Amino acid sequence: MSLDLTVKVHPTVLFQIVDAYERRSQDKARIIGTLLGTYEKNGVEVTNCFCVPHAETQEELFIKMDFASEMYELHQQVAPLEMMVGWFATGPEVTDHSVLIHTYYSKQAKCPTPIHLTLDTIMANGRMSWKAYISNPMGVPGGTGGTMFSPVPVELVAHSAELVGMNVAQNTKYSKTKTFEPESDLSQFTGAVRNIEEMIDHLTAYVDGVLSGTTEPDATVGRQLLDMVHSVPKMSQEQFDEMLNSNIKDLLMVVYLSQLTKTQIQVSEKLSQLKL
Amino acid sequence: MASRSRKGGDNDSHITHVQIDGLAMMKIIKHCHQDASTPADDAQGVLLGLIMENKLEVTNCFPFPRSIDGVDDDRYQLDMMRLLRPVNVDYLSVGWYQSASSGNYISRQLLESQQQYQESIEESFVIIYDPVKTAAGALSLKAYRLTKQAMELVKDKGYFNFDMLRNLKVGHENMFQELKVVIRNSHLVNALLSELSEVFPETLNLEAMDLGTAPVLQRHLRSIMDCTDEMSQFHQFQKQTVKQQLEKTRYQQRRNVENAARKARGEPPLPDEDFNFKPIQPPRDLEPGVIVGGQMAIYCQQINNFCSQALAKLFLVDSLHQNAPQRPLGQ
Repeated sequence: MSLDLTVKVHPTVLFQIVDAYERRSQDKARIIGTLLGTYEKNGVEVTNCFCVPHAETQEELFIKMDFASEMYELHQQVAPLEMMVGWFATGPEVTDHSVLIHTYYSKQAKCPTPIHLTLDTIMANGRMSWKAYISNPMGVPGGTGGTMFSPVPVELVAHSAELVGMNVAQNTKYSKTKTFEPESDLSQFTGAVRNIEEMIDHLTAYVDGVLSGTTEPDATVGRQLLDMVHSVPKMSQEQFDEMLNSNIKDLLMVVYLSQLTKTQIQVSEKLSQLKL
Repeated sequence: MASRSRKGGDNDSHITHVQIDGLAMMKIIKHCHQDASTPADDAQGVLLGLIMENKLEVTNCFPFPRSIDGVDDDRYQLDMMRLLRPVNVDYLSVGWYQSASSGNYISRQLLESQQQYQESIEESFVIIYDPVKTAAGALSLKAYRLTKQAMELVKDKGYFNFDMLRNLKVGHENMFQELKVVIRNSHLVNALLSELSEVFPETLNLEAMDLGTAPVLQRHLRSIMDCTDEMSQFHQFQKQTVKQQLEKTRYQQRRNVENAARKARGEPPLPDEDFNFKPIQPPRDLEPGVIVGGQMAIYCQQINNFCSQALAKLFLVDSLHQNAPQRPLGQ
């Protein structure tokens, strides 16, 4: 069991855990489920998960294992590359029952080192934190052995589309009804332009401050500013105008063609609807 | 299954928007981008949720396996819904989703699937997710339903023909009705998002600022070119039909004139022969008329949007460049 394992988690997984937690039945304090993902060289990438019904009391633990295997098979049909890589539980800490569940998963899952992920949905420390563990046996040889859950670094990864989705979802925090309507393309664009404007204002304020002596100059920032200024391609005004104009002409021509096509389609449709 | 409220009658009236949970949106994104490099074009899945008074809520979703045989689909869906019950996921399917890069979703198959869904559940809809556009920076998730006329058109499962198109006055513009999409997250998910926003600082959507317009335009134009080829076949057919129709009427008139002349002369009128006009073979079916037309209209619309943004970006760069000499950035 290599201890330099890194666990990469996609945000979708956390969303699903939170949603499953919200939908749990009244009598459950926490929920558990299976993690699906792929193995890479030095780590595990967790891309999906599903909740598994279970019941636990102080003394006993009961998990619907056939549910888990059926659900896993269904998921395999959609994503054959995703395998069971571990299990998750909500709650701030690892409990005694976790050991049992973990041993079950290490036998059941065809993976050597199942990952245990916890998501603190009750926010014991005022924050929703997530941790990953793998189990290591411990004890004195010859004596009673036990298992120890050792934490493993967790990294959140997302590809660009997921990031876009998350950014859109972020906006629901700011509305009373917790809803947010994604804007049209052009307004998203104006939003991005506004961001850039703010950034430039920020930069110019900093530079002005340094020049007038009010702000401490920082060498790295200065060097980065220099890089940025130098990265603007140097071209004479005529070259730039020419490039600009040719691009604009291309775009206008395409717009013209597409409008023409649209009109033509409408005309042909009207024709087909006329009585011949 | 619990009975759901069915508002009969005109289904355009009471549903105003579709409310999607952040979770469902993330799952759709995840499924459509599953095969790392190439966004798949036929990723499909079912949407689960509730129908409230004036909105459709989507609370969860699950993907369909991309199997060739459709036999497994029902089994898979039933199994999945059965398994989702114990974990208290809404088990009412309110629609389905499909991925379509650059908006190429109008096809016969989509119409038929949507029609089946809408027959069983009146308010169901299809969500079209555009992976290419989303990866470029703008989330593209749109909800559509078939209008009543389109439902009629597809109901026969046969070939469209001119009469049907004429009677129902279906054009590519009134085939689909678009619904507003709203994203919703619960409080706990908002807390999670606050945590995540520390890990992923809100990116400034810099991909939207990309000046490289050529590849996108090329792709769109190529798709339009393919559609145009199909359309031209259809237009040829139209022309031939019109010509044949004209010739028929002319022939008929000539016949009538001759018959009148013969009657005047007292001779028996010519028998009404069957016109020996070869019936022109119509294309496979009149799909191109409406479907390809609709598809092309969508491409054109997208190109317009894209070009207007690109023009804005170019003008922005122009203004920045002009300002550059006057405002030297200090060191």
